[in-house]
Amino acid sequence: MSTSGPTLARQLGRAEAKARLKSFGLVAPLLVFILASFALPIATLLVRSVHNPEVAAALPATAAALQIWDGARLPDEAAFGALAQDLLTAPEDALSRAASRFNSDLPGGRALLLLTARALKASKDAPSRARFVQIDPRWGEQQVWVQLGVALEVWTAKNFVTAMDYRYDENRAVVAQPREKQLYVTLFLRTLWVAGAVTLLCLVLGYPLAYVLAQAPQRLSNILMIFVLLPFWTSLIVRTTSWIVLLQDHGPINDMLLALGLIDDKSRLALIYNATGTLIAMTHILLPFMVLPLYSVMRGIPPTLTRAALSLGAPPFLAFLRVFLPLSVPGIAAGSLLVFILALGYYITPALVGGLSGELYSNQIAFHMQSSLNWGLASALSVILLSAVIGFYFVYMRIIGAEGLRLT
Amino acid sequence: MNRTVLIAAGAILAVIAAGVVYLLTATQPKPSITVVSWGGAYLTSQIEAYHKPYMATHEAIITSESYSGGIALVKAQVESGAVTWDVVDFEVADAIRACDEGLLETIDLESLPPGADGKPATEDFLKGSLDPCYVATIVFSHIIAYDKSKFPTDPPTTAAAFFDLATYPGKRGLRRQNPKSTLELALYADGVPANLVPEVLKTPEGLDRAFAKLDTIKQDVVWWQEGAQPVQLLASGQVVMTTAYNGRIFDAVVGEGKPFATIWDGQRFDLDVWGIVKGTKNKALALDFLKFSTDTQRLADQARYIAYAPARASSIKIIEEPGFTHAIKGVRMLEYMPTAPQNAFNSITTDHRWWADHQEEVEARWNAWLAQ
Amino acid sequence: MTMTMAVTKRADATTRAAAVRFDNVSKTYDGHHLVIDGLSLDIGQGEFLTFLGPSGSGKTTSLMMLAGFETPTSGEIYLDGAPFTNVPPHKRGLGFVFQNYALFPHMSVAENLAFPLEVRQVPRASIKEKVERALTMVSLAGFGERRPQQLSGGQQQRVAVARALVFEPSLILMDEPLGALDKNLREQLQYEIRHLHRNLGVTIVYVTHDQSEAMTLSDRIAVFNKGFVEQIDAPRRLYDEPMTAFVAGFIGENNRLDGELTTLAGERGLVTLSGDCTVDAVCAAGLAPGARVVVSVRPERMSLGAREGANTIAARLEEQVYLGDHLRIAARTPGGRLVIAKIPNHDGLPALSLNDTVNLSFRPEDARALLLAEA
Repeated sequence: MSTSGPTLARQLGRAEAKARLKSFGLVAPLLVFILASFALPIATLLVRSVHNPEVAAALPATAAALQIWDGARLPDEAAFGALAQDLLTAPEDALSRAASRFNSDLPGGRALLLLTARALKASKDAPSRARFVQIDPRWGEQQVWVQLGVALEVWTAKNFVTAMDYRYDENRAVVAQPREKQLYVTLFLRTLWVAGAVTLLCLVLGYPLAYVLAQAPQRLSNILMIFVLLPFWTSLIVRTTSWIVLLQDHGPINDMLLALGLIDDKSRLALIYNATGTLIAMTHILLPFMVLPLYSVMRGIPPTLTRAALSLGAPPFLAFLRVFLPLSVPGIAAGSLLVFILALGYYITPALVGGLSGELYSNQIAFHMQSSLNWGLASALSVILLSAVIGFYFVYMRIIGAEGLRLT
Repeated sequence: MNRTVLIAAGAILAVIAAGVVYLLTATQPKPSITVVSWGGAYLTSQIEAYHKPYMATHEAIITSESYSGGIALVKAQVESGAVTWDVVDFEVADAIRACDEGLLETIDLESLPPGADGKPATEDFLKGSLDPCYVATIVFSHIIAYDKSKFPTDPPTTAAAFFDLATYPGKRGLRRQNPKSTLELALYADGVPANLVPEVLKTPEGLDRAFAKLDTIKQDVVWWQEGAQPVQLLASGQVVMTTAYNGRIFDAVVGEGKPFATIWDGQRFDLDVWGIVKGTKNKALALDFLKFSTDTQRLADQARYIAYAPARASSIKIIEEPGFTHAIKGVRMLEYMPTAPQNAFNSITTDHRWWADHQEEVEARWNAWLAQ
Repeated sequence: MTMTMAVTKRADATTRAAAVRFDNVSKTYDGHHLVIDGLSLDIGQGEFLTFLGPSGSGKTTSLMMLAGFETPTSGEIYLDGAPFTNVPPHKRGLGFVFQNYALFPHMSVAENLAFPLEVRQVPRASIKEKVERALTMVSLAGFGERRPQQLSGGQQQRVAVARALVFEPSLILMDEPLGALDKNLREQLQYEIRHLHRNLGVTIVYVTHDQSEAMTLSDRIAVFNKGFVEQIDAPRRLYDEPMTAFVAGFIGENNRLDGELTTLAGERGLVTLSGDCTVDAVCAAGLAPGARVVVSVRPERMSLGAREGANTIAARLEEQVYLGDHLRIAARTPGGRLVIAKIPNHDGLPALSLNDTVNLSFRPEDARALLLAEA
């Protein structure tokens, strides 16, 4: 009998291993999909925000030479020589890419590098500091070399420095951007504000709606639910454009207010192309994300609990406040978190109806992805936004508790 | 049993034989290229003037795709090695950046067709419209348009009127995403002579001056992003005056009968150019199409469909002929052309090279200014 | 009639004025079908009254109307003589124990109990003391900090009862409070509820479909059937003197011998069981000769062998089951009627075998002729 112990354990182990392998096999496709479509892009994003290989790849000798440069004065002849060697030998497309990257550190840096390379190739003169300054006097400026040093850093914090509204000065110290160039912090705070306001609006509008849906007989609430879900079935652009039509200065809403005599023609309400437009359109679009979790949580609250509170002497509003409301908190938490996080990342709607005061953080990310092509900065901004989302998630978990946060 | 096998084998052989015969007799697929451009009336004008004649005279298929500008998509194609676009219509500044980033094939400019008058292409094309990376097709212009019904008496005629809220009250429309041409307009309206505007803008003081001028109307600006929006903003009464692309206003006025008018004073010329995406597998065909579409007649033909001027002098001569009219509306096109002498009096040339180098820096400030 | 009937252990309950009066109360949900049809009943001060009936008989609806969660379509309910129908539930001041306890899951046991007191703005110190007392009363002292989910079903029910009692209402309503518990626990809690009732002197209206529970607990039982109250009486009288065939059938086991009332003399009458014999039985009020009746006889009132002055019926033994304290036999009469008898095991049991013909006898006072209800 005593020998059957380990044998039995082995058999059990084998049987469990088989079951584990089987269940792993079942989730494997999803795992691969998530890795490829979610984890990998995010990892790329993280890396891109601090990885800056283009310039160093095209100018390896210069990178080595500047390693030993103290940064206090102009670099020595050796550094100029190294740069000349790099500019003469780097492949053309690598040099183009490097020049483009350098341009984001030093405006005009692209032309400086490319034109210098072209001039060096064209003449037989021995490259020297004097020759460089002759080609372009900027090579005699310490500032240019400092920025080249920044551009040559393969691993860099410069994108985050920019994203925090700071910059490197000529001594490589991190200093605040001049006021007229400060953007991202303000925008981040505004984004938090708008997301918070949208969440609050969704809650204020969605809570009574979910309450009515949850109290209504199943058949009626199913029909009403279709109306709640209707925005889901319309394309984002169509919905947003409809808001433009409705809210514009000469749109139906202003016309109606005018007809009712509430406003006069000179004081038509500015409902669109500002933060108001963003709030209205985003609240409409995100409302279902608030109503659905609220509804499902409220459906799960037994009606006898409210009756019990009434029977114990609580007036209806107090019964709601003390019993129904606390029990619906998981729905409030899930809905709010969902809406808040989605609102943080919104950019199409703000871009279309937000005007200037309604633009959000993500619009800048999109701008740097699509237009300025500064993907490093776009990544840094994304990382900041992502960190904020994760941060808020954990704060929520702390306050509400994991079991409080359920969607169904 | 044996019979069945024989029949089956015979059937299989017959199918194979039929397939071989089909393959041998089927016509070879025509070579094709994908030409990418902006949509709408502009794309239509290109199809009518370039694509259709080319396909009629060459054994080739041209597939049209539209995009909304920028070089992000081209960059993604080149960097991933999956190039599906062959010829792309860029705004010239984008073409310069694409060239800097190494995204464009080089073109032998000597091989471009000479003008109808025999002038070599390098002399016939307008200044700044040729580069080893691109060849310009049209000249368009950033102009100011206004709603005539809003100013029945004493209509605005100068760029300064755009900033004169006291005399011409009402909202203004400006382009949101890119400060180029808007800053030039601000300097010109502030009194900088048209020919000095690009140089003044390059100085830090000039930049400050441009932003300061814009500050005076910032509260009254509605910002637009797409070329179609200014027309819609004017039509809906959201603004009374707006910057716009001249072709869009032409369409609204001539095509739809809208009561809009154009202020040509202080117009900023811009170019649309063809570029060939680096790494295309159809470079020869793409080049052939490029040369075909930029000859004197083709460029002039395009102006029958849209109010953008051809980028070569010999083509401009054609559109200046009295009988040159819109293909459908029959109006004389010269009146609406940015290059026409009566329109081009105070035009501003944008320094695209400077913009390519400083766009990022100026845009950072622009975005910050907008957000403040 | 009510006055004389509600006599069991609490003589004083019957002498006080009625605490609750249902006066011709009707209720319909759809406008056609009456769920409650003209209900009139009085509930005495300090009484334990049970609404007993099958599901759908209207007992829970009646309770809900009393609690204020449902409104009568017509009629009026009075509490201590004052009309009550338009008083909202939270102002009725009565305790309610729900079938599924309805404890607030986000509050501790103590907070659940404190809730009705806080709502009434009882001073904090006093709340603590009352909660302690109520918990002790239901033997849950020390459980105050627990969450309801951490308690067993029986414990949760005790908390629910304590919560309904803690603000000292004079009227407590209980809606099948023990329905979800297993048998042993149910019996124990029945005992505890009885005990509380006796000690506190409150009026309790209790709803159940379990007749033995109703028998155990109640001073009086109102038997509901299809929106009517068939009979309202002390348990003993309900059992011994059912007034309708439904009550006789619903409460306890009985033999139902169908026949025709032939002669009536005072309370007693002769019923002819066609194919068998004629029996002498006590007749329910309102019967007239010629009526179709059932004669209801409790199985334990049947004896083996003929007796002087008793009805005797012959039947063939079909089944016998030995149950220790008694022998249960089932026999069929020549007229096809099934007769069940419980033969007590005090002097030994007779030896019987299947298909024996046995004589079963029962005294006329143990037989009740009741109007045969239409099926």
